Amino acid sequence: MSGVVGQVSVVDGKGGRVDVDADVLNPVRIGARLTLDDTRESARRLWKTGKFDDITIDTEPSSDGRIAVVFRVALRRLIGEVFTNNTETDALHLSTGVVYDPVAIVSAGMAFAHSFAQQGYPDFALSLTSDFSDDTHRTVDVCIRFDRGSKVTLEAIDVRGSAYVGPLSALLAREDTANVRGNVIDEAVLERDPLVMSAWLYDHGLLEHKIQQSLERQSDVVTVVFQVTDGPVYRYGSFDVRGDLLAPKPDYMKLVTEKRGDVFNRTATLKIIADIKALNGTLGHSDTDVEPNVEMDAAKHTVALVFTVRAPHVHP
Amino acid sequence: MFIAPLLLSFGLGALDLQSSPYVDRVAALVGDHVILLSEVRARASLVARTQHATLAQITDAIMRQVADHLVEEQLEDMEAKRLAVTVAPDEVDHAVEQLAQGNNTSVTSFLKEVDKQGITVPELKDALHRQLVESKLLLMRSSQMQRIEEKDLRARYDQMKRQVKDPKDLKSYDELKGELVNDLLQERIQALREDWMAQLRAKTYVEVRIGSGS
Repeated sequence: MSGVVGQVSVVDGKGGRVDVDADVLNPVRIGARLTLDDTRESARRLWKTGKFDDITIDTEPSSDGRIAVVFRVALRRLIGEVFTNNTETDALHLSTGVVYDPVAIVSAGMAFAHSFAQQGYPDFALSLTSDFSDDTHRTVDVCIRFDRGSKVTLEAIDVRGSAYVGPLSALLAREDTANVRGNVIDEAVLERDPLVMSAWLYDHGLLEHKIQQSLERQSDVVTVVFQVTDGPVYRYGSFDVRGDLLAPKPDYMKLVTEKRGDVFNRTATLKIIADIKALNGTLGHSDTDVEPNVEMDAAKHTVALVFTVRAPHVHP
Repeated sequence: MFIAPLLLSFGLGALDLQSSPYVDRVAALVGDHVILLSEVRARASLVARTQHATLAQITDAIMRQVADHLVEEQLEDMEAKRLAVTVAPDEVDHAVEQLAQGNNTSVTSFLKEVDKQGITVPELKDALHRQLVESKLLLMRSSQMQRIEEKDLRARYDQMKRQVKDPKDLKSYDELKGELVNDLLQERIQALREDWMAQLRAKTYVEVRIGSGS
């Protein structure tokens, strides 16, 4: 065998030819040397068609002394019977005669579960099992068990552990108006809550804080607990501005409004960055980037803050 | 047995069809993505080289482990795409430099040593790339990691004391503290990873079709 492709074909389990779009097999070119990358790519393209349950790649000598590449495929099975204990599972679109696609079924099941969880049914359970309908293995019966569970609502959001429980709780009450007593938990909004608290803690020098979230369930109500560990308060130890300075350095240092010994404040730091960019912008370099380098001294609880200015057109 | 020379040919750009028939097939499914047997073999080949073993010594159970590992890599890859987490080539180069520094050697000497171990530079960089992506993804979940408290370190030290025949053989708590912190940190990172991987597996269709699973 020369290693050069002579023929490419796709056949089913009985050896019958299976037609596929030409671009699916394109990577394996007749007359070209057979490579692993090319056969892999063709196999992937065959798989993406969604028509097959299995693919095997084989080679045989072809009549002209070159190689015949054979993609042996198992066609996807069809759904035989669907057994369910609830008509709501019709939303899964599983019915007799439809192609049995386990990936699509699992995805649909997860979307279904997610939808019920969003409606306040966290105990929702969906079990999907399948088996061949008969000895021919051409069809698969699917059995769906569905249990909605009870509706669960929010009792409270409880911030614990921090010396700043009051301000943090007030902050969440202002920022998260979706997750209030009696409502179903809005996960998307709830995900933001630790970030909102983190931003506040960073603005109060608490650079090592940790927030752990847990749920305390009592029957059909749930309390969301944010366990906050504050850690030490960090203060500014020193400041510097370096890099592509287009004006005298004191002009930049004037923009550093925070003072040594002040409690670290992330919002104030971001404002300094914006002000440095604005200064360079007035000097014709609006594409300036400012990188803050924060060096923490864990023993002294201080922060050395260096703003590195990068103006691309100054140093191409 | 024909499988050994066949396996050895994987990882090469062109196939040696003089000495072996070429077979590939679906080894695992991760959502819509398919992992092929040749990819599992290629990785198994790398494992064998680093262990100074032959591919004939790779058992079905190891092939299954390799396939499971590739499944996890694919899950991470999908998650990295979803969260737009990327690793630039210079980050990988920096990781190589750090590894060389950690081994008290130059990058050139380090890469030569790696090559002697049977790992090519692209293979090393590929592995580091994957590791950096995973680190970034884990870092995003680090707030969920349990904090290491003094009492945890004391508890671990007490456990060690119970395990040694003569407690006098054990170094003092202060001497061992750094080591204890490292051990606990590694364990918690591992637990975080396992929990995260279980969550990724739960929301994706995964099927491994090779190996014994044992």
